[in-house]
Amino acid sequence: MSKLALFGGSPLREGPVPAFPEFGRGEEEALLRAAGNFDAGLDSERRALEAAYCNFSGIRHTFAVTNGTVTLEMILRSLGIGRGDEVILPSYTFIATVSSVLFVGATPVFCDIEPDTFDLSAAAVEQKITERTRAVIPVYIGGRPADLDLFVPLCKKHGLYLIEDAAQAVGATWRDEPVGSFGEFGSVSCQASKNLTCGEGGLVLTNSDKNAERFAPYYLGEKGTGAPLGEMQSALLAAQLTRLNYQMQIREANARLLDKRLSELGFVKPMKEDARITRHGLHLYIFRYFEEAMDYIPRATFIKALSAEGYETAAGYSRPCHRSPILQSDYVRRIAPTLNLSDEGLDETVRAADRTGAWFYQSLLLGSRAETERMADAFVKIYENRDELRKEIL
Amino acid sequence: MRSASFSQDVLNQKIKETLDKHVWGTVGPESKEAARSFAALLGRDAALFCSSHAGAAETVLRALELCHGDEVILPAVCSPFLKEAVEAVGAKPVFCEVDETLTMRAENLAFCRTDKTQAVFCEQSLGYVCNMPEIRRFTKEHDLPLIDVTSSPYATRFDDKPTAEYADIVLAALPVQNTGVLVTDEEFIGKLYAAHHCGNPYGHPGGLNTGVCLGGDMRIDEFRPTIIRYLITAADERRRQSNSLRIRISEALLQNGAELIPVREGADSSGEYILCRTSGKESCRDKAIRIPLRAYTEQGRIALSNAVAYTTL
Repeated sequence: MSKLALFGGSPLREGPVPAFPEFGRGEEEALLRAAGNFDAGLDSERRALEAAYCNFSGIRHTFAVTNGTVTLEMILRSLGIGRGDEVILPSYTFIATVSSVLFVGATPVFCDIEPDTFDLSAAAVEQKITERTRAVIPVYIGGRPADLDLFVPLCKKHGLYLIEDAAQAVGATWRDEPVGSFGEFGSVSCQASKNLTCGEGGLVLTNSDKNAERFAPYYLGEKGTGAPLGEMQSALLAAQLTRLNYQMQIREANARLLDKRLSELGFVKPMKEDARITRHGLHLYIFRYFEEAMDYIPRATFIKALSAEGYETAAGYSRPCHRSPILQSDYVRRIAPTLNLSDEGLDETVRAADRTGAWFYQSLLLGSRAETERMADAFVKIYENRDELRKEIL
Repeated sequence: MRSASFSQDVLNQKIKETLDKHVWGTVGPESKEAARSFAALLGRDAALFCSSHAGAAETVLRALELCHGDEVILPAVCSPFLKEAVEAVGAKPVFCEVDETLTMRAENLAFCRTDKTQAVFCEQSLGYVCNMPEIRRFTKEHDLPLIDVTSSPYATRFDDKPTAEYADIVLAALPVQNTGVLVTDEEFIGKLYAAHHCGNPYGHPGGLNTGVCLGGDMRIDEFRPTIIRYLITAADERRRQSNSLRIRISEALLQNGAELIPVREGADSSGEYILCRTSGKESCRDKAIRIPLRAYTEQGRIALSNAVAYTTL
């Protein structure tokens, strides 16, 4: 039994984490081609990117814009959602999902997640629908689509817009259909940490010609405050898109290996398998940690030990949005006076945030199979050293 | 307009270096360094680059915590994105009359102010310069933040000072792929940064839902700041070049009988455009570009018929 890296032993990881984003001559040439016209107001690179993404995903319409927060804000505006309206969404997400709703003057209504997927719970959503509800935003957390077999009919039944927050789910498919094709719109982030990136950027997706038409004035800056993606970012993103398929294959193979290995352990569980998810976005590899099966060693201590072994781990959204200080300001109260920030009805959200949720970022999944095996070995190593680890608590 | 010393090869090398750093966005080193240089150029404390002009305007309004029930004074001739930004946060734009230079008429501000007024935007429209001392006096008297909107923040000057020095916040719309930049001082930078970076406090690298103010993501990639850093090094040269071009085109227009609208006394235009009265001859069209001018009224957007602008760029 080797000594934990946390206590001076050798870390299990051999070598650095795979560099991300990967790039080569294609990215360099694309970027410099567009840089020659930085002040020219052209749009050919952006249009080429949009066509390339449509071709890649099978989506009818793609709009490339400045980032993955503006995407949501523009989508909401184009659907006419505003003051007095309610939008149901998870609290277990990044604050941008929530702020985009507030930015259009609407009220976010927080709803619980499923315990074994961390995706928005359709059953819980149905309980929150009121006469003011206009839209539901399931967030495809870590790249995993929510249960679209439930959300599509649910929104149809209640006459609600379904907006797919696929910020982390670029390339993901549900029953072989691309995310973004199920609701009115899908929103993808191309921010620096994302699987498809140009530094800052976003994609708006829709299969509806009517939606594409109403979105166009917002996208072109004729209405609202959005703006199309610049030519340099578009060129770079198009070059990165050519890498996405093989990167997704590597991540998926490594994630499956991790799923198998972690399933054999009692104190962690991978997210529930679902054959309807034909392609997982895998921006994050999310798993649950059960301290009661690990001699009550807290999650934070376990994460510290795993990170020390060379596998940087985070405690997920340890602060869910409804507990964020941002939402307690007088300004937010003026925008949304009825905003409910209590824990009530958010039991699974709170459990994931406080105790069980943990994840790796996607670049760790780009390593070799042997490296992924060592990643799983790190869990075993920590378990075998749990007595020593308990000293950390004391 | 690129300066005479501009070299695409040099710029390309700098862009390649940024690419190689593997940090392509989210307030990275290029953004920070360009912000420092830009703020220094205008003699201010801090700057922030935003993904677009409109995004920069919305960032300012969020930082000032404006929403429904609030009013914002704008010049009747202004960039459309300003009106859109005010309406985007739920506030009401109130349009102030302009003078023949198409910039805000300072003496009309008093007619526009109500107890709901929360901010004043002035714009150095087409490179012409507002009466900054008078506008500043008004906003000070009523304790209203003044936002100066310009596309040439180092070139529009009044009493030999950049117009930026009169304002609380400068919103510069840069010709580098739609980039917006906000320039300000200690008093406003914290709020602006939060409004631009998902609510995070100034200087904070960013975390998951750890911010303290309501903010969106108006951040910029690392490649545009690389270009801006390079362009800043030739700002003075570019200003001289622009002035010289303005003088040459003005002379040509005068020789052809055009009636030029002069720059305000004490002001120094950026030379972006030259305004003429339409009563004059317009025989220089082959050398200049006529641009459509629009103004806002309470009723909406109208076309202006009493002026023509010629670009010198």
